[in-house]
Amino acid sequence: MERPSPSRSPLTRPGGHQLRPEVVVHHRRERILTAAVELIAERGYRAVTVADIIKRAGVAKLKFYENFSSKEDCFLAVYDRGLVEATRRVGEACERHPDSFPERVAAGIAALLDYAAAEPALARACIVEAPLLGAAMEGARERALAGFAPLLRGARQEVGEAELPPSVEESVFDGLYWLLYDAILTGTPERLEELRPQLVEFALLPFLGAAAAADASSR
Amino acid sequence: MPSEPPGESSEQPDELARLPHGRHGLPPEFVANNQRQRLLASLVFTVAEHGYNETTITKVIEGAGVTTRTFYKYFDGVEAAYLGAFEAAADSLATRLAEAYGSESEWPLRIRASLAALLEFFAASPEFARLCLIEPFVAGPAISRRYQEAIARLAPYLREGRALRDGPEPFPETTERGLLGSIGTQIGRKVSAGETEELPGLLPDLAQFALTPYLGAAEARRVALLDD
Repeated sequence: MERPSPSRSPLTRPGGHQLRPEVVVHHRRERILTAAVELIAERGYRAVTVADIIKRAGVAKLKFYENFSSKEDCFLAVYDRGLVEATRRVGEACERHPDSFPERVAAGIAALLDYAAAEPALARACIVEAPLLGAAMEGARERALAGFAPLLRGARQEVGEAELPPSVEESVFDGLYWLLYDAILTGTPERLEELRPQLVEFALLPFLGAAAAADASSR
Repeated sequence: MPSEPPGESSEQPDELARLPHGRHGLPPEFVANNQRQRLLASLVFTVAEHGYNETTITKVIEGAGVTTRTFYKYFDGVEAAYLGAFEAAADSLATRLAEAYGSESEWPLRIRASLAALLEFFAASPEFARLCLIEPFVAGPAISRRYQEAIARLAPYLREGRALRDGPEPFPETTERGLLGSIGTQIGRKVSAGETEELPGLLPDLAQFALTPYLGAAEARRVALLDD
């Protein structure tokens, strides 16, 4: 039987010196981000130090500071990554249902919750811990609203005769965020699956009315 | 307007600071109570001015005119003092909302009156709005759990509306919490933007949003836009 070639994985190559430098640098940055996510989810942002992160990541302090100016800067990178990926997945799911508003909402919310379930530490870091950054998170809400906008695109056309206040989409997003926060703050991982029809119904309610929203969310 | 919540009045710290030091003949519980109140009031103003992340024991005791030792007699840190202030604010708000809810007899109007009282409460005190609606998330899970509890405490008012619905399907359990969480965030955002005095203007939109699941959009809007 042929032995696995040592070059099979570039990352396990002895010494690592033959790797292209940009691969090493990228990999190191990834390790730091992964370590930060885990630690923040485990201990809470405030309790984590740069020393903890470099220890968990197995990188030198100077290498940390080549990538990030501070713990806060590192966490902002974590948050950006989570938000970009979450909005990408939600956007893709929504695109698959261009013609049906209820199906679009159901698919988008399912994509978001699947991502949160697959990456529980990242979900906790981005949803519960990110607000601890305070002023540094200014503007994050607007970016999130813009990123998740496809979810409710065209919702108003469903409404019929009743006039909706201009703030209704934001109201729905604020409620969805709070319900996620609430579930992740105290909930178990199974809680996210239970939450799926609840979030779908919550998002549809102002546009479709109670009966149609309940019908769509139970599908 | 109902009585001011504890720690809200800006005159209070000054007035209490005028208490003479040493032997003033007041019973010890009274002084203790005053010092605690003074610390809570100072915490509220410090958080409003600097945010939770920049709130230190030093700033709080300076505002209260007491020593570090006195601070530690009541609280073991900023977080504990925050919780004390949050509880006081939440109790005071709950009382006002109960009054407003009781001031009408029909449920949609009860909710509208309660929302109006909520907006007035925070419009009168942007410091409390920061403490209750914005900074709990910055302060972190220990304090945002109290926010979560406060929402759970208010949810039954909205839940009463379920009796008015025609549809046979019950709502998800979380609907009321979602509505209230959203309302809290929307008020908080107005306050963050420095538009506290415009809060009462949110009433029609918030009332329509809160009532729609129970009444349908058209009827919710009609109630939301009623003149007093």
